[in-house]
Amino acid sequence: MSELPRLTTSVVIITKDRPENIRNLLQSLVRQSLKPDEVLVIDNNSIKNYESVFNEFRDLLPLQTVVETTPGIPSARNRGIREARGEIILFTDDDCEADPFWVENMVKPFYQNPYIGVVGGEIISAKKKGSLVEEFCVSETLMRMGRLEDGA
Amino acid sequence: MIIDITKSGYQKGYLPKKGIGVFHPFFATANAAFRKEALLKTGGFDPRCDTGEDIDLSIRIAKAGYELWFEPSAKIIHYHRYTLKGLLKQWFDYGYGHAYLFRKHSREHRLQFYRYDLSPRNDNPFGIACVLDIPFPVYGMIFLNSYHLMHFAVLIAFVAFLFSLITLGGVGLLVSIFSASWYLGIRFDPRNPLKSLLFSGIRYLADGAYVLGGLLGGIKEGVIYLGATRSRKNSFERSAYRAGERDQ
Repeated sequence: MSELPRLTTSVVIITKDRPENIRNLLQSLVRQSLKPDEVLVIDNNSIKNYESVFNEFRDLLPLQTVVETTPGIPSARNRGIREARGEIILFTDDDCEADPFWVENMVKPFYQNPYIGVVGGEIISAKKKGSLVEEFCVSETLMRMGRLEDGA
Repeated sequence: MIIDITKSGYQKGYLPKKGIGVFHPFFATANAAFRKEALLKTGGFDPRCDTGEDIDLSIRIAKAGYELWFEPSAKIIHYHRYTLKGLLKQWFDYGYGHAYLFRKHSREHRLQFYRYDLSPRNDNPFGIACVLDIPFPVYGMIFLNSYHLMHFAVLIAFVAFLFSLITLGGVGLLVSIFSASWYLGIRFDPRNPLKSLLFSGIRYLADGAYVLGGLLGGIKEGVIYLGATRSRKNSFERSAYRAGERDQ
């Protein structure tokens, strides 16, 4: 693997009016075992202000921010594709958090086979102490039950 | 603090590249990485997709000859924050958006009836089976599962009783009771009866929202789509398909 040219990575995040959620995600990107070459946040015309959150991370992440005024997730993601400079574009959502090995494990398969066009990872549904509806959402996708110690 | 976690249930490795209709392996964009070249070659996301843009893109990327790889060690934690209203709106939007996907990717003029395959096989990774396929002026995909059956049977019973067809009405009523208990039985948990019944109630509403969304989206797109949501018991995850084993 070390003989192959290194693939560059861009993490693209679409967000709308969730500055408090995206902080957790950005925090989880700071802790990555393989640092992304670019973290690109596409603000899909939010009313809420993200400046203070972005400023918090400017020194910690290779953060780029763009405002996309066309509403709708597909358009915002396409803007992300156009702006991203990495050869591998990783998408996640602003209500998610990445495992510390997320970027590293997502990129690995692309080295194996040049015909791999897309890699999907595990999405773990989590609830803290939520409402019945939230519990329902988790239970409906429940296949294998596990325990995750918070902060572990 | 301890939180419960759940997982998608795909197997590590290559995913099948052929789907059934638009039932196609895909990765939700909450955790998906793309080779930029593949995105540029396929034109990226379809802005006409209200929902399901991730399914649409996976279909096109697979058609362009690329492979889909599932990597369970790459983990994203997703925090749910739904209200009932939000949940129902989301399922309605899924149904509505999927009708567009059906029109886009299934051009045949056929009416196809599907049921969930209760005996998953290696060649049927989706756990769905086509039971009837007939020529039809437009594309139609009609699901038959316990959710639909209980409503059809109630409707038939009602009409039968209206015309004093007591036997037919009785059969209809029995079928609807049977399918309703099947529907409830899928989620019933004797350790937690009240909660599992409440969950079935939420599922019932979500199914209704999805079916309604699919029907209305279908009218807009000129397809017939009587949708069904996948229940926990007969899902992709339960199928015997092992993507990783295929290539070894």
